[in-house]
Amino acid sequence: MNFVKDIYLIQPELVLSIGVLVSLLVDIVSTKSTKFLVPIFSLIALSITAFFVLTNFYNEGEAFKMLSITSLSRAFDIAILLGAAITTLLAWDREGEHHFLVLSATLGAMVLVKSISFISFILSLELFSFAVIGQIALSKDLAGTGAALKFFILSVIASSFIILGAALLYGIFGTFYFPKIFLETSFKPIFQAKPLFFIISFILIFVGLAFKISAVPFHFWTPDVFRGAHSSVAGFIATVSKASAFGFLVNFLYIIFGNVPYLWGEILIWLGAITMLVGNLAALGENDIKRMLGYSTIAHAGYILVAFGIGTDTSIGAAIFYLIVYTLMTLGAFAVVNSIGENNSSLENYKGLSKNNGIQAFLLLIFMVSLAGIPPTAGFVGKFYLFSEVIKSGEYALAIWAFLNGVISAFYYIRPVFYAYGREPKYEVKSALNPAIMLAFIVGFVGILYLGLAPSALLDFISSAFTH
Amino acid sequence: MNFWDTLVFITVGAPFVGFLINGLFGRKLGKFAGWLATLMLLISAITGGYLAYSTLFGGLTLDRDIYLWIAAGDLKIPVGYILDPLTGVMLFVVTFVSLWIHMYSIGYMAEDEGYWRYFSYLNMFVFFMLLLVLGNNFALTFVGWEGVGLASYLLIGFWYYRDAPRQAGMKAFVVNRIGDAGFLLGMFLIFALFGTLKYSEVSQAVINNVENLNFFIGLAGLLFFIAATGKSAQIPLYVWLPDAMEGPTPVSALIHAATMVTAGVYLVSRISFIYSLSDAPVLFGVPSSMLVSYIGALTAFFAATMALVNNDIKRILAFSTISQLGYMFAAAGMFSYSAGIFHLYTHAFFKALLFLAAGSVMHAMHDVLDIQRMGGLRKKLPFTALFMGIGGLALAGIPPFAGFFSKDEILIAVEKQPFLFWLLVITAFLTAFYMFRMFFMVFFGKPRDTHLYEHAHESPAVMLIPMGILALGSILAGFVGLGGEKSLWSALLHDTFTLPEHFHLSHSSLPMISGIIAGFSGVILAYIMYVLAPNIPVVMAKVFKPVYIILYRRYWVDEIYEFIFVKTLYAINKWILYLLIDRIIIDGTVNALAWISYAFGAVFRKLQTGSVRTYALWLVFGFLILIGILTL
Repeated sequence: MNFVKDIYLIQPELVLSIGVLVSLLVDIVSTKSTKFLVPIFSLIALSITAFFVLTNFYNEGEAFKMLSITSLSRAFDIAILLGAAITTLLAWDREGEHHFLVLSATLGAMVLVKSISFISFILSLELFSFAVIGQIALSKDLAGTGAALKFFILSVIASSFIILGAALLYGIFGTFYFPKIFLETSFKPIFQAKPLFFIISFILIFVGLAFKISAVPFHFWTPDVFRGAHSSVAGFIATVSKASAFGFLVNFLYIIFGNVPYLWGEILIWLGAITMLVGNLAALGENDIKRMLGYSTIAHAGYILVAFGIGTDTSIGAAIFYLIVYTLMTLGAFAVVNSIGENNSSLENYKGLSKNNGIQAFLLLIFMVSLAGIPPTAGFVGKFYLFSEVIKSGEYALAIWAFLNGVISAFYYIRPVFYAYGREPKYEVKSALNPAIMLAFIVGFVGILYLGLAPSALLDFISSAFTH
Repeated sequence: MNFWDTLVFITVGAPFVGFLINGLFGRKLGKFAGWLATLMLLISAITGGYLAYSTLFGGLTLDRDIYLWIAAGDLKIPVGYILDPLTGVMLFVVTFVSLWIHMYSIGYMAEDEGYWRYFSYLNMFVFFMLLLVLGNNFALTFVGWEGVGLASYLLIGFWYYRDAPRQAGMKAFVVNRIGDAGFLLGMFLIFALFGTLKYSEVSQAVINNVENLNFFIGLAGLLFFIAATGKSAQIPLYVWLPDAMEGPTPVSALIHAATMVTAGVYLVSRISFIYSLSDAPVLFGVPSSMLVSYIGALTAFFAATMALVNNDIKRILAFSTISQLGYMFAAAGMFSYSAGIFHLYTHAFFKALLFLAAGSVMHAMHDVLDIQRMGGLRKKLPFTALFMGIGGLALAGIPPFAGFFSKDEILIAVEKQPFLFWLLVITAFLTAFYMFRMFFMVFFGKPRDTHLYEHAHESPAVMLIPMGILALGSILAGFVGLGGEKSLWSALLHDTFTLPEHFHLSHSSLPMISGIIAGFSGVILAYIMYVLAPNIPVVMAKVFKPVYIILYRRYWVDEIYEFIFVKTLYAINKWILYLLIDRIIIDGTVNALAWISYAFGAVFRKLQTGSVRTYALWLVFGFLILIGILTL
């Protein structure tokens, strides 16, 4: 009966797989006038999946020796599904294929965070990457195609690093199955003596993941791709892609390399510290809001990496909370960008926004204030909670470093707001405000204020994933 | 939700509702927007006033958590309020003064196209200010702290189509970020030391641990004082406040004089246990409380000298605010928190009144700010002149006006430190002088710009009534301090603050006598120089000298003034304060940091060549670095 039990465990993934297939059918049968059915179907599929995720939140176990379903991985699913749903709203008018690709990528992301075998890991990673490349390439202009090509080439290089690392590990242990590697390493003292091949295989896979997370110096693609891609796609890469890579990082660090924390603890903290600084400094003088948000995602990845480096249950909990908040505020900011226009991403166009586009200006204020970590928004609570974890672990210098980074970041986040409220309009900006964007605004706005004022419910829910 | 919860909820909620309605639908409300905002403030003032009454006279003290805001592991931050006499005083000041300024604004902003926007910001400001004074933990106070900051930047830059207000808003933002950094670091330090952020728990923990954690507690005190210097415009972070006068005048009255800038004084008094109990040297070899006192007194003196040489009616008042806030800190640093809060309370009345009167003058003079172009206005603006006179007498510390009582308490508090005492006495003299120099130049003598004078007219009732009420407050508010240590005020705030052991005040009459002499002599000197002296040459001209001598002798008066005040003090201001502190230290640090950050940022962006080959190379490079780190 093992098979039935395994199937039972992966209900949400199965539901989503069906959704992926049916969405392709819906796209084929829908005509020009019924095109809007595709995103609606996409939202329905995501909602049902989310429903299954929540009802199965505490069902844990292993499926097919490929996937490890834990409450923790389900918490990452929530961030992934939230990101996918909001980006669907942002891409309301795009081709039907786009929504099919979003669903496929989401499926890839959900499988990725649960992978405990190299087979499922690499397959889901590729499913995800190709679906994202497809999304970028749907913008048929030169910028979109260029961005897609750039992302494709670099993804291939990153994947080749990962596959080489996986092959090395297979060579050492003769298995694809992570828990087996965990067992092998725990009984052999040789692994405490830093064997070279083991280290190289770790770094090879880690480089591939760091590329997804856009940690420095693997971050260069981020601003370029964000600038060329449609704002919904940039938002998707910024949130869903990061959530899935961080989710997999849990399995990667705690299962494959769980017995050798000397390999990664310090590295993650240092990488996080450098990443946040580079992201924040590079964003300071940036005059294109999409590129600025690209640097901003790099900086935020730095904060989350630090929490992973500390590696306690509560710090991972803080990271997940931060990831959800980050998803809401980043996608909120991208929704504003989307509404102002894909080709109006130069900050010049944001001058005097409050005059003619009051709603967008106000929401820009809220999202930027939250990104800068100013209360009473969720961004403040997330940073506060994350930094207090850093303090609890005794890393005072790191806490001050992260805090100073937060201070720097306020300057570039507030600049568009000052432009929107404190300047005369320079260009006539024709903004779009369809119901889908409005819904995205409402979700982001309500979510940020709710999590800012009453974060306890979500925090309790996340910590229940560790303790139930 | 019990009775008090409901009252607190209404007090805080009413301005928030006003903010939401005006912010969302204000454009459609037209003139009604102002009345709506004022009505919301009225509700808030009634419930807030009742709460203040209950805490001050009903012996009510409450510390209640409404719900858990952040709870994760051992980190627990509630949303809760604290009701004690300190909060009571602040509640009364904030709601009462704000109410009249809201009403005044209806008249003052009537012609402005951003009418509704203005009132929604004003309501938002009051909401955050109430959050700040009611919060029962550091985190909640910080929410209010940031919120009033935000409202303040929006209001300073309200006329954003002009260049100066925009720059001023940005400057306020930058300077306040430095202060905020102090607040956050202090908060993290407190959390790291004691694992809690609630005032009641931190207070208990400080009392229990002050012996072995003396230095760290003092350090937290220093960090919070840095925060206070930002918000309350003390040396070295005072530079934003004079520029903040670019906003509408009622905003200057409300935010930059009566309420927001007092947040720093409130914070220092709220955490009196830190300053009273920690005596470890933290900076320059002195404990944090001493730093508070000295910085306060020095700010009081230097800001007063800066007011002497200014000709801009609002900037004179802005420097006077900085100076008076310095008085409050001087007292708080000598553990006389109740004297500091007393001055905060009286100052709120007369400074709001002075600003509103200045606004009324500007209203009449078509937004001219230069007092050298005014003169003789008492005939055209009799009520405004009366009100400004009352506010001026209160500011100058002339008995029996409100400022006299509170300034007296402060002088008593610092009497043990002769340097501070005499510095503040001299400052009291300067205060009286610059205040009445301005008053006489505006309202007495001959009109200097006849065209403007002809067109001047008194303000409407909607602006005069609030001024009248605040004038009444400026006369009467001080009497609760009658009787020194046995006064009603001392009884009300009894046991509110933590005091060090063996704390007692002197009973000599030196402070009162020197304060009165300083105040009167300042007023009289101003009267001689600006009312009597200009006439002496006229009389003499009639007797024996030609006209050009009149001009000459008139100029001679100005020359003395120029020599004594402008030249020397201006040199001090310019070379020491302006160049050293403002330009080199503050601007220098900010600019250097900004330049370095931008330079590095530019380097990082330069690496962003756009070429995939470079990026791939970086990937390999990063890989090699990681290998190097892990294998070496």
